[in-house]
Amino acid sequence: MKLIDEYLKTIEKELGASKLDLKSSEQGVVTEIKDGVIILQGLDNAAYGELLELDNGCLAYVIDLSEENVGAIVLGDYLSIRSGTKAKALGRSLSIPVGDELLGRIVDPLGAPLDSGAKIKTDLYFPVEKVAPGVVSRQAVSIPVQTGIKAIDSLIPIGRGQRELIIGDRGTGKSTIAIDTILNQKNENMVCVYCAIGQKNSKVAGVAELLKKHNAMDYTVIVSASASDSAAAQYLAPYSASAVAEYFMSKGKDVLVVYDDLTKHAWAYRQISLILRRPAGREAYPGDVFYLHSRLLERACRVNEKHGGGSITALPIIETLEGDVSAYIPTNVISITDGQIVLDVDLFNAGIRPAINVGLSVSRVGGNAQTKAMKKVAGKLKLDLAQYRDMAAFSQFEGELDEETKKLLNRGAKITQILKQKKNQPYGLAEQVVVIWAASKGYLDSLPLHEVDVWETKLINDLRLRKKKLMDTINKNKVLDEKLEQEIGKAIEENTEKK
Amino acid sequence: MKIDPEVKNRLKQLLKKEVEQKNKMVVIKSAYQLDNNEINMVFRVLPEFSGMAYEVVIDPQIMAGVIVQQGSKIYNLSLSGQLKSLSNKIYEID
Repeated sequence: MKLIDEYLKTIEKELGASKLDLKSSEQGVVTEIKDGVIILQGLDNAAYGELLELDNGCLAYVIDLSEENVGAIVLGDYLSIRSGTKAKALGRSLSIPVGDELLGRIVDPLGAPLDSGAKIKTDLYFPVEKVAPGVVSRQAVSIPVQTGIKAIDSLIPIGRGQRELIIGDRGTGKSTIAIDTILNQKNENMVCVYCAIGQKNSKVAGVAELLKKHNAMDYTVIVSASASDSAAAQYLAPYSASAVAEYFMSKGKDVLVVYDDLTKHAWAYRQISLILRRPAGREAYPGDVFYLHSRLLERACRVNEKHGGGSITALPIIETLEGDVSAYIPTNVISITDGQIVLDVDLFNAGIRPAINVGLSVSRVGGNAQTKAMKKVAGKLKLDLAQYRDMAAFSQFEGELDEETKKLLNRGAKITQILKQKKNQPYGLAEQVVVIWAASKGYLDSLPLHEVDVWETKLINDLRLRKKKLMDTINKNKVLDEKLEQEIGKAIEENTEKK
Repeated sequence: MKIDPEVKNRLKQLLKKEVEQKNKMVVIKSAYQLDNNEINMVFRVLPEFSGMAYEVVIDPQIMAGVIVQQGSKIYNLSLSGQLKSLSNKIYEID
């Protein structure tokens, strides 16, 4: 009873505040309905990006203004719209409710819950489309994102505020890298946003389950527009995810956003554009498909202390066909981002997982953010690997090899082996440093290749159990001095059987 | 059917002119026939329309009050409009 009383009181209060206000609104009439897109007449003063409210309660979003008509994408069920349905312009742009209670939730691009939880209750709304922070409010990338993946943290380091593309064929572990990175942010003081665009609902459920199992949902928001949702929802999803990320950034937090994946986003936009009869360009994409992604990824940034000091790191994912990174959308996104992680089918099938193609992958700004300890051990690693790749290709033709070459090949094979990692098992910084240090110092040279895996598991277990103090020191100071290196050497020798 | 582009153009212009004419007209929608006094009251409340040509349309659906429209600009001062905003508000409070 009390609940109803309270409810009525709130309604009374709300109504008491508003007197008859003489506010004019813009009205239009639906004249055409096409798959998720409506064409309206009237609405002489509608603005681009304005929200419309249709008679049946649906919302629509203006994305096309021509001489006589207005085109809008319908957010919600467009099947109940009839020709002649009236639409009222609401005079505001599309925004979604944001707040700390989003953490642990799965929401659609309009901020409505998709899990069984309650409606997001908040007074704060953030616009879905927003111009990225300018030059004045930004600062350089200087703090690393620890992905927990050895190959990435050592060779292709990612910094907070960077945009790093993950690109590869289907089934090469693109999402796995992104999810593992989210799993590793548990004690890194980061908020994660996973944006699923055009994914199967079963996959999104699987991701949510996995994150929950590892207690990663406590700091993660999932924004999902699945394959069964309208193209409009899929088109808006990454911008909504960006708005959620911007909220947490405005609180001074570091945010990681995963857009999985932007290929499907481009498809959704292509569908909308073709329905709106915009001129089609290459691969039938409209002319502004570059701007579609550049304005999204430009919102990733690291703002300076004066503006809160937060950051948004973006990990967009692009799916290629038969490894063709020179297709239209891949080249676009490669040029927008600050580097890419290229995944290779051949490597994946050869059992090298994560299947990162170290030769093609780059990180343009992450090097500045890498910790000193990692920088020290990784420098040698890169050189060894590059030499190994050259030699490996060359040595296939040559029968007899000199000692020096054999040594190089052996070292390279061991390093490749050490960079393999099982999925959903992220490594801490200190663990990565010790393992890579061992490989680059040649501790594994005398070990047979198939024993490296066992050796590594044993070492990691030992480090976690007995060498906690050493690990904590490295994790805290993030530098390697001679004394620490001696200690690491000792720990490794204890775990390496003498032959 | 092929239409002479010249004819098509002329027709288009005619349509445009007609739409413009129609847009200039103020439409007052009410639930019952309004007398002159009431119409003057509407124009007093909305001075931007005073002096313009107008027509009155009867629509019992709006229950009470008036809806004043010119072109795509609309003032909804009807009971049905208020009820609708009330239902929206209740939904939002939830």
